[in-house]
Amino acid sequence: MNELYTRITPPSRFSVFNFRKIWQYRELLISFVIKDFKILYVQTYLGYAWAVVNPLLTVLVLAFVFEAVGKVDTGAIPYVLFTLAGTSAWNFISNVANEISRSMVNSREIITKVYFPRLIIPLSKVVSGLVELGISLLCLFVFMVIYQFPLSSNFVFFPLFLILVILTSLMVGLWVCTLSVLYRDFFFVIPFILRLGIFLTPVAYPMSAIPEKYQWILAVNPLSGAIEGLRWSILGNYDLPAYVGISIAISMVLFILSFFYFKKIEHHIADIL
Amino acid sequence: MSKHAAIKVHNVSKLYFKNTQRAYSIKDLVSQWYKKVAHPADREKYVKKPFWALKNVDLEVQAGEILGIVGNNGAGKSTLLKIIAQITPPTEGVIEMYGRFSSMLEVGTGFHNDLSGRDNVYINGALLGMKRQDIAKHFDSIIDFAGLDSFVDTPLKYYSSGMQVRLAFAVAAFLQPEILLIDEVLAVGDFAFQQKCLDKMTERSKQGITILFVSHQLESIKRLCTQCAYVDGGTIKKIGNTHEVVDTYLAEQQVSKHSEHILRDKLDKYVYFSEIQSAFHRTDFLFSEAIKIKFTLTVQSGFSKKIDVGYHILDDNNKAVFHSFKTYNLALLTALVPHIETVLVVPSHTLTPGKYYFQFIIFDSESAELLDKPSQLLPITIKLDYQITADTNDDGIFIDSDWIMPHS
Repeated sequence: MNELYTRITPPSRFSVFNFRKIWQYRELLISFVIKDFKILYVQTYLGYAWAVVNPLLTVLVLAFVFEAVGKVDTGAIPYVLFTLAGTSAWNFISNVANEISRSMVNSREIITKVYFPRLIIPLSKVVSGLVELGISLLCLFVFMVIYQFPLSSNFVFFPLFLILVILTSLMVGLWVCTLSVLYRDFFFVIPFILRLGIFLTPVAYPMSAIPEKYQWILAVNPLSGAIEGLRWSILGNYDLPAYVGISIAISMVLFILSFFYFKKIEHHIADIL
Repeated sequence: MSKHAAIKVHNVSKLYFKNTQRAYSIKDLVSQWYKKVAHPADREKYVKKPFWALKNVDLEVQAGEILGIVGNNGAGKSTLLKIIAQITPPTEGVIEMYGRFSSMLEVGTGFHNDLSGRDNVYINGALLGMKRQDIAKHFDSIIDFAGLDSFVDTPLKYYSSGMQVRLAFAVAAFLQPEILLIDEVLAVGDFAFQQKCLDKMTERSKQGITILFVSHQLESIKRLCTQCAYVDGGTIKKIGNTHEVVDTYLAEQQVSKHSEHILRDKLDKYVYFSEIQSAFHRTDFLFSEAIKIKFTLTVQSGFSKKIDVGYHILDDNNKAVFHSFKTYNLALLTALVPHIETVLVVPSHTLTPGKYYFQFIIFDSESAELLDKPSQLLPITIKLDYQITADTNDDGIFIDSDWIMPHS
């Protein structure tokens, strides 16, 4: 149900997002999140425990592999911790992007029958993904205790970088969402880009591990800033690399553009799907 | 409640593009671009053809009113409702609404089979804009209305389809909006439940809510609506008293649909009825004589598939009572092409006295694709030519039987 007075006009080219409307629909957002969780674990023996077991298993496998095989120089930080911090953020962003890419087409039934701000759908996927991110980060803290590695003094910046990671995931998600509504090729392109992207992002190696002439790739990669930043705020006993600034700036510009692009097609989604 | 406008529609139009080969993938996009460049002659195929689904619609609905919307398929009823429901934006014009509104363009939207009835009620309620605590407040009444007390926690996939519909409607019925938009939702469910729903809506409208109700079920419209709008070709043709508007709608349907001499010229179809006429221009036949109808098929050169040519006989209530088909193998009839004439003979003593309408159709025998279906129907009246005491109008079919008696 909507506000008491509603005025419907043809979409204007320069309209801005109505964030108040999205706030009004927060209950719907929560209900989407709950629905996703219930559907995911319905008729499983472990039920919601999978929400913990799944990321835990991923982390354990990664920890084992990187401890046994990986020999990348990560300075004073144990390699396992270094990778865990990176993969937590990376998995969150890539899972959210993957979920969002199909969410609009999968929700066609409700989109063509009921009005609600369409942004609620991608937003709900971000919120769902946060649960897994939280569990991965908890695992990281447990490993830090095991390795007796002290929490970084940069931890005061943790909330800031957490928000950056969330905004980055939403940015990627909105691009993916808009493009895949228009051209379904992106269903196939996106998993590929994400699989490749993990190597072009400082997830399992530090900037210093790659040749200098390729380091610019990390700087222009809009995902690397948020991921490196989050790791730095938890584990960092070094200075924040300068390229983080460039990457974050690019990411935020893309973030704003993604909103405008999404806004542009939002009204017509029901006609396109 | 004081009378004031609940919905004001000012000069609303909606433009769609027909026959566009919209690019759904990048490959399409590239190939379309290539074709445009490489074959400028075919360019027209890729030019968007505009189609106004709605044109300059003005409408004002007072609070507490139930406005029915009738019209043929494709007239623009659902488009109008979708625009008011904010699912698709208007191309031109403004709509103003006063009051909380909720759309129920389809009941049970967003239901998920794996979730329980309880979960689905909450999700459906949230979709329709209800707050969680409001749903909780009405939860028992919803389940009670749907008659599903013992199945609340059963996953929806184990419900019968009737149970699903009842649950879906129950959620919608207990919404508390001031404006409710309903699109053909009563077509489902059993009769008793339909009545219950109609009663519930009447009750709600007495509490002052405004309802916009699109339906093909004219009986429901007549029973429920205080006002009615007849939409045709994207415009509102008539609005006002429900019975008058429904009658106009029905009358126009009859006029436009019946013709004693169906003549169609140069259609862009593989095969079509170019002329249909009863023998000797008669439309009245006696019960004891055969009905003869002459028709001509026009076939496009080169089209030589097998087709099924047939007819349905509709009674006065638009209900099909008889039908018949004949397969034409066009490959064997090439000598007759492009115009194949046929005289159709319907045996005597088949149709009991009354008024009938012949609807002709052609299907592709293999793909079952509908090739032609003239919108005009041929009216035929059957009259009784001798007196029999039994009431022949009583039952549908008269069987011309042999009555063999022993010789005395």
